[in-house]
Amino acid sequence: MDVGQSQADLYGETSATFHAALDRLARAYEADPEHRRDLLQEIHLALWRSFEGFDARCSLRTWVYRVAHNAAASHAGRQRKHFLSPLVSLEEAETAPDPSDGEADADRRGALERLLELIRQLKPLDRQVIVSYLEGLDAAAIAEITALSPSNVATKIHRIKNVLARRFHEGGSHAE
Amino acid sequence: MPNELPPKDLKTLWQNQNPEATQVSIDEIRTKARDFERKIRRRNLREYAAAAFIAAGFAFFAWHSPSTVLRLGNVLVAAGALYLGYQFHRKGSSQKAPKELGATGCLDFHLEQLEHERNFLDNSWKWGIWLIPGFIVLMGGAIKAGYLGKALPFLVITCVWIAMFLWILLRKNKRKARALQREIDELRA
Repeated sequence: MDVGQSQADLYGETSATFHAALDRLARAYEADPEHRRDLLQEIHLALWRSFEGFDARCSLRTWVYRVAHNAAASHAGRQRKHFLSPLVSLEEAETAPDPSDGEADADRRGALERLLELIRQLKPLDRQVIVSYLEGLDAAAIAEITALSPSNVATKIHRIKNVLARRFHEGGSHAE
Repeated sequence: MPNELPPKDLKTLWQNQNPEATQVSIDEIRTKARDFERKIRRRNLREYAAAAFIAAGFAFFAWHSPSTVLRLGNVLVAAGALYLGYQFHRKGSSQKAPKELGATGCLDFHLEQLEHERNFLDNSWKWGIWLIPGFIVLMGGAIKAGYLGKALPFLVITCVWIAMFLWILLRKNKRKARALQREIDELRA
């Protein structure tokens, strides 16, 4: 097989299938639009270079999400050193008060901004799980991407649902 | 209720965000990959050049030194600078190979990053130590030759201040390394 061709094919397929998902993933890591563009380019470059060594031992989706999350986590780590913003775990987010409680910003854009704000303050692994959950991946797929045990992923998803229910559905029923 | 938005809708809300960036074509990504490789090559070249320049400077002084002690001091500083350059290069090139990003799960990747940072902080004292013997020998040579004269007390005070600053920096690095170790232990538990 022509390796160069294969690399181009894989990148083409990834770009077509995961373009929007990668864009969303970058938003989960970077609030600043200019830095977000840089991050997205970094992710695309990491994917392109990684495909030279793609051996199909895992699905393309798992590979793409691993590369993207790992590249984004490195980027976030570098940014964190510059800005020293403290990150919290899901457990801490579960008990922390919602900063926007009582505000009348119920429009969907407001909700999305609050969701992104919540995600960006989480520690890397919790952030990776919540983004994967919101992307609609099941627990097994998230476990494969993150290398967390399935039971650990299940616990984290349970916590994510609690946090989301508390912050976005006050007084209503829990997430499905 | 203002805050009310079922989490099922949150998934929809998340997935329906409009992409900000346009797709990157294969030609564009090829160009970016070439630019990236070029940037790495230039960075490596700059590092080699800086280390070589410093080492050459001290080698020049060693060659023209009037005494054996000063000559030895300059040679030791030149060797220390080369070693430091090598360490910086190693640190810079210790990034994972691109394919490893896809072959490594996020937990393992995160752990490796934390361990790398911890090791860097934990071993930071070893870096400067390679220059210290050379400077001590140089200083000894200068005192012996009577070059310092009345400046000696000021030099001693400056050295004490530098030593204190380094000591505080090392303590801070050690504290950070311990905090990282706690994070690693939590993740491994």
